[in-house]
Order: sequence, then structure tokens, then C-alpha cells
Amino acid sequence: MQSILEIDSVMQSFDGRKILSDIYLKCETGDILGILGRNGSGKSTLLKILFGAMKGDHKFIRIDGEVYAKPFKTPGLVCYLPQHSFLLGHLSVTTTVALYLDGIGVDAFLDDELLGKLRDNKINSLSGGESRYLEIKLLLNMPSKFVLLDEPFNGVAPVMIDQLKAMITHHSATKGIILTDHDYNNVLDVANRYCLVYDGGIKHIETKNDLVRWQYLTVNSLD
Amino acid sequence: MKLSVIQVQPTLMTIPDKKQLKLLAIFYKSTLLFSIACGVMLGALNFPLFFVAFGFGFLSAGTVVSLLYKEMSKQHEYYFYYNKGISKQTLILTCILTNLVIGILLIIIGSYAKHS
Repeated sequence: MQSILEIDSVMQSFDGRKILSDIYLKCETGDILGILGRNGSGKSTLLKILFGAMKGDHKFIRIDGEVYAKPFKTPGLVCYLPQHSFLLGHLSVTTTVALYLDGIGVDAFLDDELLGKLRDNKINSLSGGESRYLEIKLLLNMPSKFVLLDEPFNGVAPVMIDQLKAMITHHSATKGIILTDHDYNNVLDVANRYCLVYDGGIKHIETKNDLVRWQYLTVNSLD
Repeated sequence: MKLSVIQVQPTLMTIPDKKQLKLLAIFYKSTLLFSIACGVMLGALNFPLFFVAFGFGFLSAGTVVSLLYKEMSKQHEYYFYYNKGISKQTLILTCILTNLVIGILLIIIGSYAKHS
């Protein structure tokens, strides 16, 4: 089923400095929306507001025609990968997967070249990349309509990044995915729609030249 | 012009299901160390009334310290629960109420033991 997520009129200020002003975003099932922006431009803040973990000075979130103040409170709508690992260090990989997938399809989930070897390990013994891989795979396998990924490729080895991109593309058939990352090449590679957070607003990006126009890239970096 | 009424989905606390209860228990267990430590410290300082003081320390300073610790050094872990539909409000209330019940029980038991 096709689902639509819309966020409108997002306003957020910190200490009188306007970070986001009147943002509008739309994401549908099948979309992989890549959000680019400089450090401190408000990408993560936007995702947190969209998820409902942050209130925002003002916002309007609508999913499939229903308006939500905190979408995460309604199971099956939105899940979110924060910048830092959110898994509980004292739990084992198998326990974490069983908790997240409600015990359904745990063996199939762990039947994976990487996770198969780690199933009995505690989360706090995993490397940053392994932990990130597990988090992203868990969120993509949850029955939510939309997945928000904040810097999914951060600290992940290149070979694992390719696997993650393939996973994201595969799951986009049944979900809408919004992601941000500092490595714009990865975002441009995996996303099928792009936008840039610039000066508190959203600029829709069609070509790499638009990124130069909005001062995200220099002309030299296009080569 | 036809105006439509926008109805925002309620965000009030709902009764957690069995799976969410399991997660609430995991969160509560992770706060116990500080609660018990505060209880033991207060109990040791008031040894003749150990259970009463333990119960008081457990439900007061123990709750505050454990939740402050979470807030200051484990804040990112809240997302573990958010992704399963459990809000910070629910987690904190669960911790406060459970500590309150256990703490009061310990105070009652301690008072009863002292008088008998």
C-alpha cells in the first residue's frame, strides 16, 4: 500500500537563532529522500522533529491523512536511526533482535554473513560499523511505513556501505526512507530524490550543479 | 468555502502491551543499581532503622540519581524505546511508580519489624 508522509511549517530556533523556518517535506513509499546540508544546518533536528522525539517550535506532521504530534508513539508508522548508537550495550545481539522483531523471524534475520558470527555477542562488544549495520537492518525490518536514517554510513567500512545501500534500496519497495549523511556521494548514490537544508529552508536538488549553486559544493568538487 | 477540522492523533499515555512491558522491565532494571546504592547508603547511615531508611533512599534519592544518570550519560538509549513506541514520559513514570511502591513497602516492613 502506498503511504504518504508530509511535514509542513516546521520552525525551530536555538537561543534566538533560527535553524529551521517553514520547512515542507513529502515522502512516499518507494522514495529514498536524501537530505544534504552543512554541519549545524538542522538536518538531524528536522529528523528528530519528524520522528516526534523533539517538539519543535512549530510543526505539522501528516501520515496517510492523519495528523500526529508524536508519530513514534503510534506503532508501525516511523522509526529512526539517531547519529549515535541507540542499542543497549548489555543485551546480546539475539536478544536485541528478538525484542525488536517481537520474536518473529529472528533466525532468518541472523542468517547473515556478518550477524551470524555475532549472534551470541553482547552489543557493547561490537565494533562501531557492526553495531551500525545491525541497527539499520533492524529498523528496515520493522513493520513501519517510514524509516529515518541519520548518518547511516558513519563509521562503516566501504564494503559494508555497499551492503547497506543494497538493503536500503530493497526495502524502499515497501517503505519511504529519509536519510542524511555527510558523505554526499553515498547519499547521491542511494537516494532517488534529494534536497538541501540551506539557510533554514529546503532547496530541492535536481543536479549536482544545484549543490554548487547553494554553496554546498565547490565547482572543483564536481570533477 | 468549506473548512475541514484537523484532528490530531492523541499522544496520551496508553496501556503498554506485553512486548512493551518487557522493554519497560529492561529499562527499570537498568535504573536499579543507583536506586539500591542510594538505599544502602542511607540505610547504613541510619543502621537501627535500616529498612525504613533504605526504602526512603531507594524511592527518593535513588529514583532521582538513576534518572539523572540516564539523562546525562545514556540519553541516546531512549531511542531504543522510542522505536518501539514507548515515550520517555512512560519510562520515567514507570521507574518513579515502581520505586515508590517498593520503597513504601520497605518502609512499612521496616516500621513493622521495629515495633514488633
